[in-house]
Amino acid sequence: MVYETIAFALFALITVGCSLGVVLVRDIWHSALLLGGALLSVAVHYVMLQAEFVAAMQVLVYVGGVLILITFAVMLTRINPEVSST
Amino acid sequence: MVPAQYYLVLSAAVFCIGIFGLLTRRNALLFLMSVELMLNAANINLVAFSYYWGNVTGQTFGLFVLALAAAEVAVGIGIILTLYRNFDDVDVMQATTMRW
Repeated sequence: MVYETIAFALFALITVGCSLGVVLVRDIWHSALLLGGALLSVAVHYVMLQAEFVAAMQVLVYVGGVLILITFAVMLTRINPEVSST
Repeated sequence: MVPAQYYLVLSAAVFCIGIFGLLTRRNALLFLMSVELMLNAANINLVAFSYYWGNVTGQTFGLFVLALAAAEVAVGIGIILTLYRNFDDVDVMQATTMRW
């Protein structure tokens, strides 16, 4: 019981931290990597909610497909970091 | 089991972070990533309610949301590459062609 709460708190902290990193980090490539961390920790939440198939699809589709596509876009649109940031 | 409110708070936090990124950054790729974060927040809600009600309706909706997110990223990356080719930048403030 208490272990589940501790595990939830740990992975919720990882999820929120990586999500904050996605929107706050200046470099677009680092924020893409942090998005991968956030998606993987959301998959861990799905496993804790006994949704193993959704967790497997999360890892396969998001981390295997969406993140690769975003990586392609980052590499194809490489520009000066201080110009692109806010 | 962890109470359902915890998952709702986590989902609301991730959704608010996604909206914050959408409103403050000007990079089009950051827009795409923020939309991904918001879809993930909705997915956490769906799977959490599926667990607490004991049926798989929420998980099925979550799978549909996941497929929609993948398709949306494919279309969005095509649009962003066209934007970069036409404007030499991915700043959404630079592309003002459709503004009248």
